[in-house]
Amino acid sequence: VRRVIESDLCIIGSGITAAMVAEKVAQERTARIVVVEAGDDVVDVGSRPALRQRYIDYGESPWPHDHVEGHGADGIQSRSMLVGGQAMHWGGVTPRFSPEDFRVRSLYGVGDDWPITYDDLEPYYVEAERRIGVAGEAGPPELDPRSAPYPMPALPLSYNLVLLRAWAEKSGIPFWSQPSAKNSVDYRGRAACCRNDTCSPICPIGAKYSPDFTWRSLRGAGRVELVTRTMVRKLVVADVGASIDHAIATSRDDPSTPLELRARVFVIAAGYVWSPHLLLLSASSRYPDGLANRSGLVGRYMTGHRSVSAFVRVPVKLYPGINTQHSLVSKQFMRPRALARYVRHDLRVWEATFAQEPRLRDDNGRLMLGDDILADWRARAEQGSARLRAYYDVLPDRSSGITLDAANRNPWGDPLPRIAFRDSDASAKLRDHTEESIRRVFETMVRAGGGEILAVRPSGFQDHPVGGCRMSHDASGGVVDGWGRAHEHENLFVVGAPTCVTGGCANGTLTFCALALRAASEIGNAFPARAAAPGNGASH
Amino acid sequence: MSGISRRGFLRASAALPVIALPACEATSGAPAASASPDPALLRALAEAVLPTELGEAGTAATVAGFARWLAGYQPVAERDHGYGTGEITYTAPDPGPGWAAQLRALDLESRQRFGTGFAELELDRRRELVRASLARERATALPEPADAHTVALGLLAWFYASPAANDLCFRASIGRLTCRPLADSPEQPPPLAPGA
Repeated sequence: VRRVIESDLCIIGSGITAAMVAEKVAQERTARIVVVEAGDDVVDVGSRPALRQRYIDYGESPWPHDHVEGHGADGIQSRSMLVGGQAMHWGGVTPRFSPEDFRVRSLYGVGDDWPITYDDLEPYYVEAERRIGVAGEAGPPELDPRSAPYPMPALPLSYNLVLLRAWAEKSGIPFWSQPSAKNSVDYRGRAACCRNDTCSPICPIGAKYSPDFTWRSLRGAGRVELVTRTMVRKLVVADVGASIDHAIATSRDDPSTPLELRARVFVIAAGYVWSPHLLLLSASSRYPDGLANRSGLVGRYMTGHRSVSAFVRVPVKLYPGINTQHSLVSKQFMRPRALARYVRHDLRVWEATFAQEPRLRDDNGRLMLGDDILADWRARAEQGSARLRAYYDVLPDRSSGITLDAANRNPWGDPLPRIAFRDSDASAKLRDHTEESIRRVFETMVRAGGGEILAVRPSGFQDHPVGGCRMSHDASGGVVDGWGRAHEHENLFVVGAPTCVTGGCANGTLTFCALALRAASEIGNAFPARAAAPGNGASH
Repeated sequence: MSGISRRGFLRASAALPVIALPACEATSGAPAASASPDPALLRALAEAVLPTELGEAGTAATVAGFARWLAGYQPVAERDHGYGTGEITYTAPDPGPGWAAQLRALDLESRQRFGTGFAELELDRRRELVRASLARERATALPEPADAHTVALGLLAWFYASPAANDLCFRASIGRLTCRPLADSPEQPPPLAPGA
């Protein structure tokens, strides 16, 4: 006995890019949409305050059971697997990439260009900002080009950030409020931010966007069917032609009953690891290297951005804890013109408490108790502390990415991914130069504003990973086209992070959403237009 | 607090009874010791290690909060695993029984050395005993509360991680981790009210 679920559009994964595709298609088109999620359903919003409190008090996960036992990989950025995906505990930081990110080969002679430009994506950035609700202020137009204002006013700079902005701008570098998917006013039925300080991992009131709000709305309106605890394990191509005929899945609650998902269009929205992983798992005699993989590039060119941070003592009195997860941002170094050697990075400033935490022993190793600890803390907190951080893009080697690890299998017997990031030779050679350039920026800021650099910390961690199914003009250079459609399979799309050619030098989620919305506009062409479409859902 | 794996938890749990039970009780056939710190001893400890600026009410509130926190502790709860790691870790064994035993040991030591219980001992003497109990703590930083090896360190770590301690340090009503109007964000936090 097998179970079959039929739909027009089958979306694999329920994270933020899946939510973007589902919402746009559901609003604009008439199509039966099924969304399949391997993880559990998410707790309702009313449970969040209690879960948050246990996170604060004990460090417990505020999203219990948000992973699938036995289904992970060494080096993966997060095990989070539940309805809403990693965006259930994201920080809600939503800068755009800069136009240069899409043309690094043409402009600077490094890496690869995307098959689309910033201008191609710009309308979808606007749409993504409206759908998820971004509060922001436009930076200087030459640094922060955009065709429409943000849907909400910026989060106000905290007392600390006002002072830090004055300090930082003495260097001549302009800073502004980091755009964030956190409501500065009530928006789409969600409350305004009240500075609970735990945006990541959990906003107790839903002022920060998370995909569960979209799913609740779409499910409530009967626009999608969300199938949870169901692992899609293989895509199967039709006997004739190269279209995907169905997907094979296993329900974690009924693993002995085979499940087939049949649809006209399939969308893989499963992030940078599990999207290429599914394509590789879908190997068959006709496609021995997996689907969409004639180029051999599925799972390849995976990358992200590394960072250099500095902790700085600044000559102003700050009050840590006013709105700790908000920051200043500058794109001054994302948009260079000609460069003798390639270096691009963002720049952010936060309040911090570095070297200002209460402690048990003083500088002489003397044990302190009672009033001594408080006095010592106060003395060290007289001057403020700031954290500076720059993300810089890492240009990947072709071999950077995932392969199947036959020796390491999940509970259903499928090989798990093995992850190995590798810089391109050119990027590896630039690393010292890049990190030194960033140090000099930090030094410039401290020289101009006063204070002292207490520590500089380069990080080898590649944040906001992308790639694995990168887009390209044709099948020789990538896995999908500029719309996210697989070069080899006309009814198969991959959306979001895996399709990126480069990781940029700013948080990637808004770009992933914009790419998903651009794909959704193409996906929607397969279905009849819905009469009197309600627009992009941004009304509030 | 640092997370531990399941295997680490089992190792730590296996070791716990040895740490938690003073030898005299483990071998005397006496009734099982309480898993919770004695309130009077905990209060006496708090007076010795917390800042006097807290005052009587602030100290009492801190002790009550710490006791509530300890009572609500769940070992082997899944810890937050956020970004940057695929590792799933779990909270450590319940520190309560060990800490309760330590307090009783402080009390016993006080009676043997000074002829009076820890709670009745003058503050300087209490601090002397606490200092001795902390002598082997070499770290400068305060740990996560549940990772503290001693009850004194656990109490200090819990208090100094609290929004109340942050406010006290800066003598301002910052209210970290609490729900506050966004519109007030650009304002300098007001001074702490007297006695707050």
